Amino acid sequence: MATPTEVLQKGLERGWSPVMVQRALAVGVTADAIDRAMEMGLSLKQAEQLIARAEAAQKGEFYTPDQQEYIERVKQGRYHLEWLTDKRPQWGVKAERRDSRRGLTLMDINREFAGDAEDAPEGRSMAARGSTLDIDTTYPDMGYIYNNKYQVWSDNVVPLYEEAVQRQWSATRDIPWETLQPLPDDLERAQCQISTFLTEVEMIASDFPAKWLWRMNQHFHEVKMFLCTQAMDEARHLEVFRKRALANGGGLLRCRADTEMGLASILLAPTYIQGSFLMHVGGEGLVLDIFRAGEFLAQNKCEKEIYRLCMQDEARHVSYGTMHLKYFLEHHPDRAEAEEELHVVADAFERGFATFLVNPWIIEPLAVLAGGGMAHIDRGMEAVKIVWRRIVDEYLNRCELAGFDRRSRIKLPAAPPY
Amino acid sequence: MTTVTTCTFPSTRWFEAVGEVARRDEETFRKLGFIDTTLGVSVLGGGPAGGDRTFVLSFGAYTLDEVHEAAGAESVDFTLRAPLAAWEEMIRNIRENDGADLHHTLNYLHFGVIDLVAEDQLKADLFFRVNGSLQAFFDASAGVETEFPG
Repeated sequence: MATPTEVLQKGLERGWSPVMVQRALAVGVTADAIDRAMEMGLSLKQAEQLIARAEAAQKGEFYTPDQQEYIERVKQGRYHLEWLTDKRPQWGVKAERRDSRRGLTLMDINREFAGDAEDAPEGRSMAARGSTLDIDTTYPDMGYIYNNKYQVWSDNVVPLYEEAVQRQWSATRDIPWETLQPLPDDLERAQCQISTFLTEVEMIASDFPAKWLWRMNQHFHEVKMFLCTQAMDEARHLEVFRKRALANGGGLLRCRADTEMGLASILLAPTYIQGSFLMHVGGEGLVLDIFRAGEFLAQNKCEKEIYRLCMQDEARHVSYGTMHLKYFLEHHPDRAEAEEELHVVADAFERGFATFLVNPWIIEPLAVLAGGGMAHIDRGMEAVKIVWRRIVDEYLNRCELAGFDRRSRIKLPAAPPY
Repeated sequence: MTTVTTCTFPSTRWFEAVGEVARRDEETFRKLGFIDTTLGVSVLGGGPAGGDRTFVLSFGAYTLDEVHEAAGAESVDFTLRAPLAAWEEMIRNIRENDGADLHHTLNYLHFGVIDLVAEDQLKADLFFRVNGSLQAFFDASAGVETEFPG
């Protein structure tokens, strides 16, 4: 909570005279609101408008004098119409569909106009990339901290957004729930334990991008749009696994504290790239292989469809994360330092890997499902071993593709210890 | 599913026939999303005198746009490679069940039966991104009367 004294002091630093601050306070603008206006970078003209609105409100008037004047002009049929005659915007833009079967894609409009995001845009507002701005006006600073392209971008993010929108599905409508049949207790418990685990972990991939979205410059809107699809995907994953756990005579089973530690490390990562590496490349890469193994875990068409649809979503997220890591490293002003920082993060991720795959609450249900029951748990463990090897192999492949060499520093054993 | 024609697997005509069946079910493929990929289907022992044959399938938007037999190494996103006997079992299973059963989906078979070959992990991951569409495509082969060599 800012105090009047504090905003008076801050006003001196920001060019707001003490008289202006006192006028604002006198007409009921709170010190907090003044502080926020200063933080947003309001110009003196905009500050005057803010005070005028408060003055009008204090007098019981809804409109400011400027607004009242405009209303009178409209009543007389004297419209403003500057928007109709403004010469500055580029006019006559006509994006065309490259492939009529697809409709109009982001790639189509980006090819035509303002499609290339700048490396370091100056704007800090939500004004659309390629739009025209007011002259002599300060736009509010939205508080973005990721204002450089390399901090958020990946070269595949635009088509990935289109792919994501195309491949949305409904956990209510698109899963053949009618094919779910009663299972023996061991298989139902195993499926419910895995479903509980996935219900628990999946939505970290909604919370994490949501945490950083508003910090990303709006100039990179495609990245933000893609992350919105990811947040929706993961909400649906929570939904579908919670539904599966509660739909067939079993229930939600155990959530473990050590799993939560892994999730916390993602959510509380101090920077977007660190959390993105942990989540997109590390965690989602791991879960992608579990979804792929869903081909063995599924006991019916219902479960098979669940795993397949989740697999498609997860593979998109991993593809963004891999290519973001690549873009980040290739364009970072100090690549060596950036790589070293990420190696520390990768070391921690790899050491934490055992939390998941040397964890009886995860690998034993997986083995029971893959083996087809408790009687064949040993056979199922063979499938778990395949999953381990694939996770490690593909994680290293993705790092390599991104130009991030983990092969020489890997902490993870290539082969499972059991 | 209505059978369109009788074709021999593997052949360009067989893939085209599957593409025609799939195209009739446009609504399913639109719902599944774009299939932006070019993939190879390699049939080990599927050629004359037991040689290998590879077919290149180019998908665009929701449909198979073009298929041809590869004369040599071609640029594809990924290749699905399996012996003729494995493909035959999968196709027969699809025909019998009007779609692959739990143990004959592409993704199931890719654990140990069908090799997924790609030059990098991003391209390999594309197989998983469009998996539902590819499965629906191969499931459409239920509408093609298929003969096999020998």
